[in-house]
Amino acid sequence: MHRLGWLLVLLAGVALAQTAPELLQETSERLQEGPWKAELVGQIVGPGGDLQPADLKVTVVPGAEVVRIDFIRPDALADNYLVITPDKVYNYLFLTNQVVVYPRAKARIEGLGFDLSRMGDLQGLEARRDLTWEDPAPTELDGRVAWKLVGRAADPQSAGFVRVALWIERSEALPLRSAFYGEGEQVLSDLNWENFTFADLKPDALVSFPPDAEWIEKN
Amino acid sequence: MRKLALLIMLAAAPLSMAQSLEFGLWAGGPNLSVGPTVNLRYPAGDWTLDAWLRAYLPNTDEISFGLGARRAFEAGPAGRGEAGLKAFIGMDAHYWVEAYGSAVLGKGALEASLGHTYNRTPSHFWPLQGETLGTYGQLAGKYRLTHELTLQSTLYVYEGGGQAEAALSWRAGQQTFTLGAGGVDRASNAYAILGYKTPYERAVVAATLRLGAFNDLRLDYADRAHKAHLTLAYPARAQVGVAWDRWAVDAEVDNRGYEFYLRYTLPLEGL
Repeated sequence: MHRLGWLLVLLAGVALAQTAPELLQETSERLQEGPWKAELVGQIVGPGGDLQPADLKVTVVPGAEVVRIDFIRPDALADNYLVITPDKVYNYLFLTNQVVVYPRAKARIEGLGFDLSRMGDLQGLEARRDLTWEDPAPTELDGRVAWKLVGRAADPQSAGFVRVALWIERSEALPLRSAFYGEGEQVLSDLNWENFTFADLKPDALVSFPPDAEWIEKN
Repeated sequence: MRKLALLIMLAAAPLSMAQSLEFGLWAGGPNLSVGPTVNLRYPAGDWTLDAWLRAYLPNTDEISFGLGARRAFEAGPAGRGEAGLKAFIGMDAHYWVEAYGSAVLGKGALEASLGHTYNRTPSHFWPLQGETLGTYGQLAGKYRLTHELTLQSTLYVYEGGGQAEAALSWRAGQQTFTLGAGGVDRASNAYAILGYKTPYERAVVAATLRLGAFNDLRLDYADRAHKAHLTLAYPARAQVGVAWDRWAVDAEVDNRGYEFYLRYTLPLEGL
């Protein structure tokens, strides 16, 4: 009877176990629930391929599809910020007080050795067919019970990375850490998601720039 | 009739490609001279091509025509750069050429221009810059020492003179204080630079004072709809500029005369 009980528990566990795409879907839905902000702290690869300390404030209004990334570190990017809207991308440069505006379709959000549009946007990862996900592994991160998900890109060249690892808090289904790796396990970015909060934010608050900034429109 | 239609089509071809067309009215003196101006702008990817034309009345010698091309280099949040060349020629065989470039990358920004003007009346507002006669060069740089401190300097050299400035800006919260020094021609012609910038309600206001061998006070105001500046200088000179919506106006008066330049930009994209 004792053995049968354990067998039932095991079978139930297998039946209830979520796959990586399901967990990602759940996280994606959580991130779609309302406007949120988080600080992403860790390391990011620089233009020369060297790792730099990174501290980014990410603010998202999912309904309006507006994302804002404020750079706190690396020092060279401090006070610059990027606003991504459905039709335009705004790039604010603090030192010259300039706003460069691109049509979203033509925007090149480069400038680091890493595609910034991936930052704060874990949605869509579950839908990508070019990623193969390993089974979620139970783990712990900073004392919080989490799932670790590892995905591999079928075509690293087009994906921009070879491997992605995500740590998702089990109870809240929110990201705790995201890391992207390139060839030879080179870290492209490794960021801890800190101070995540849902907040009452309007898109206008994100799409705002210093009134005295010079505007440069790109077509 | 067909020839006329063809001519009109050929003349309209650049318009169909252009993104904007700026109409202006320039006026200057001591005597009254009036110059309607047109600036056709055609951006193509990272390239921007410009064509300028200024008529000039009553002295048609000052009619001038200019062409410019510049290329931008974008590096996302890390920075950007630009390099370009523009050249103007007038009916009285005056000419003006200028090469310029700028780059901002991470903590540093650099801007440089080198030009030469031959037999041309210096103008501050055609097309919106202050050049001098002969060969001139300008170099400006900015470097962020820390999150709060930015070092900036400019060097302007022209035939028969020069001007150099260096200043340190300190950002405290949303306010910025600037302190620096400059000189005209030689070290004994020094002046001090004091600056202050702060947000005020939904606008930004700034004041810069130069005091010594060179004296001027510049006030800047910007909100979401307007940008304005006023400069008062001694020896007596006053300059004012306002830009709103698609309009802009600049005016200057000093003891040698005046200049006035009103512009309206007509966007052509989507027409």
